[in-house]
Amino acid sequence: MAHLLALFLVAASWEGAARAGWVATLMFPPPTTILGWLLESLRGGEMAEALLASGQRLAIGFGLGAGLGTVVGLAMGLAPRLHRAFDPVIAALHPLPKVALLPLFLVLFGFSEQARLVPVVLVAFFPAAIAAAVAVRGIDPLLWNVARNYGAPPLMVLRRLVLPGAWPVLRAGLRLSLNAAIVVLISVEMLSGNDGLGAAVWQSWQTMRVEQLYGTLLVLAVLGLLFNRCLGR
Amino acid sequence: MRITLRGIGLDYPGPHGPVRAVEGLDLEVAPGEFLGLIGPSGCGKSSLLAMLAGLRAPSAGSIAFPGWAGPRPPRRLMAFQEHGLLPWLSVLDNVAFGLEAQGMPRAAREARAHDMLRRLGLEGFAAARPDQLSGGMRQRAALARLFVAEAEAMLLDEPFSALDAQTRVLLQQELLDLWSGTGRSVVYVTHDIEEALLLCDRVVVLSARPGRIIADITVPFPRPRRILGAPPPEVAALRWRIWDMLAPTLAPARAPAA
Amino acid sequence: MRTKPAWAPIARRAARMSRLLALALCLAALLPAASQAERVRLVVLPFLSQAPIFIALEEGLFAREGITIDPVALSSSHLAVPGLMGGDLDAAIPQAGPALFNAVARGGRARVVASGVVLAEAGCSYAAFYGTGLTLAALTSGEARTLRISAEPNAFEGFLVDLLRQRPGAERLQVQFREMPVAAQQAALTSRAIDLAFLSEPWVARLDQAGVGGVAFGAEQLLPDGQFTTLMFSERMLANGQALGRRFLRAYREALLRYNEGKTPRNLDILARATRLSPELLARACWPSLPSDGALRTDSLLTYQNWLRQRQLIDRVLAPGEFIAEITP
Repeated sequence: MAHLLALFLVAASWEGAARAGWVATLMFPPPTTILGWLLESLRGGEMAEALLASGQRLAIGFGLGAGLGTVVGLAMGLAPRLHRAFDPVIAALHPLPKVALLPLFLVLFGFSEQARLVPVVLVAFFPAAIAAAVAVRGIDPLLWNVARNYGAPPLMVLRRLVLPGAWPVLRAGLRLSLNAAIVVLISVEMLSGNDGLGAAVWQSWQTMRVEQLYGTLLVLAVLGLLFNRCLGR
Repeated sequence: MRITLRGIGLDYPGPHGPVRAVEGLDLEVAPGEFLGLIGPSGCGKSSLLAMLAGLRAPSAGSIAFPGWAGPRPPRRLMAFQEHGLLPWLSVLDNVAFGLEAQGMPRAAREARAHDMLRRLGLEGFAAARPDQLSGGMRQRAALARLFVAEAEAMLLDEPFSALDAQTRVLLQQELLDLWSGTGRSVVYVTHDIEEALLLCDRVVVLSARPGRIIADITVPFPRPRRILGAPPPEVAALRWRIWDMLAPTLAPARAPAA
Repeated sequence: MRTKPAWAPIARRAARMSRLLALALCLAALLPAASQAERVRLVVLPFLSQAPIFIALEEGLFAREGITIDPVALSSSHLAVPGLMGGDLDAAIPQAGPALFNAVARGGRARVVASGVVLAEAGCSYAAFYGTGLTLAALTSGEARTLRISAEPNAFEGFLVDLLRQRPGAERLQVQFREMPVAAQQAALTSRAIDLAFLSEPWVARLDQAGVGGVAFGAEQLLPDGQFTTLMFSERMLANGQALGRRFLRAYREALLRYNEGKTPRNLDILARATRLSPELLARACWPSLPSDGALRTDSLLTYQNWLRQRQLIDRVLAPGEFIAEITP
């Protein structure tokens, strides 16, 4: 409630300042203009189209990346040998700028839609993998002894011990992973893509319709809020 | 089921090469016996328990189950100093953990777990998480998990040492009640001489590291026992005998407790 | 749409992200340098289309007019429009695009004052659709054909593609737009993942050199005499009876004259240093047409605006007088 009130106050003073001519409306259009554009694009279906395009890419990119990352990370957490083998690889590959490598991916993947997903998949992979590995290693050794003591079979260990034990840290990793995926997806769509929220952001700069930029960012912020709420606080 | 240990030795890696925790230990646990292991810190009591449970292999010697005819070694289960309940599982699922590990279907294992919870006065907490329970209730739930799994031998590692005195007495009595009539062997590790005498049929006293048996005492306290009632005077006398044996070992063991 | 006079795609898409940041940083760096009458904050981009600026700087033409240039490096002139409109930048040669038209329609105070690059028949194509064997004749032969083009449908190149489709004999062309960073275009052409790529120099010369293919048709064939980039001034340059603007424009015109002397050793030297291209490549490249009189091709700007309006990329079509400021010498 306090958040909404603060938001409203900021918006109201922005509106006032814009109308009074205190801020350059070319770069800072009043919130009503932004909302007007947003409603228009919602009604006209452009926003739905962009959301659908980006949403699909995000679902596939984040799903694949974070899914693979979780599996690899869990395996690393469970097998110290795998951890020793993969940890330096992850440490070396994680900081590489995935967006800068987009042209390379485009060539490697035959200029297809998949090529645009690769940076998203990669960027979603690492936080999930790192978090999963740390999470598994952080499980209380006593609980491992309990599971061994009772002779729990591997699947039960996974279901009763590893997954729930790793979940709090893993969840934080998935949140990071999701947010990184959104950022990179938007960048990729700005660089190369006829549709999606990133393309809308890019178009807003091309046409100096800055309300389109703010409106799209607003939608992104709401999406981020929703997604992150799904993954818990 | 009988357990025999012959020439057991245990090394663990130290900063200057392997450290010998247990050496040349021979021990026999009779069927249905409640055996106490007592000794100074670092004498390898807990390691011995882990070896008995099969969680750890001895560096030397052998553990055998003479007369055991089953296709697999007899089941030995441990209870830990900290309760070791899985914090994300309900009390019911925790109690049924061992049964689930054995592959028992859900309905059957939950029925048994419920029975056990009822015996321990925890029936109202089946759906609770461990962190919603008091320390005593958690250790009760851990006992329930242990006993419901019906192992041939139960190995308890100072299960009540973290509890306050009153709760400890209550749980000691409950442990005896649960155990009596099962015919299962129990090996009970403790620091507490009095506790060992109150609970056990026989108390084995270990020396400081490397752990060796320095006394093997049969407790003349008839069963069924009432923990709250005054034990017979000969039991009280035993306490001082064991204390005299342990006292000289305490000083050297105090510093590098393993 | 990108206002990118050089069409130098080297910075095109791979740099989009950094542009916004770059602008922000540049503007921030400029704040303390404000309000000195003789100083002009000029956008300097390492593109061939910015040639007059480099010549004027190197030859001291601005200094002769009593103007000190504060160069502002941007990765794309597209970023210059917000700065020009807000008065944080004084002069630039961006592409005349929807950003400019919309900004003016919404009260932006910067104006177009002179011509930059014009798409003109000059024996070679500065900006072109590049392919591997396709020709304009083949595409307008009436044959049904699907073309995969690396270009942005909503950008100037999209306008050119529509002009292609309007040509007689091109009615049955199906166009699929494939957006990709310029760095990927060469491989895409080689692997036949696309049929055409919209390129400008020095990329045309580079791809020729690599033996990728050849120019299918130049932008000037689709939009002859088309206004491509324009010199723009901020409000400050036009104030006080256009005093500062007039001085700047004199230097600019002088630079245009020198540029139009052609690939002289002096021009080659200046441009090689400014664009960081090798003199060999620069000598081989097609230099853009920058008319020495600086006269604007308003007709093509109108046609372009109409196309933008159709696509709803601009709020309304502006009359030339709305976005052009005539500067009397």
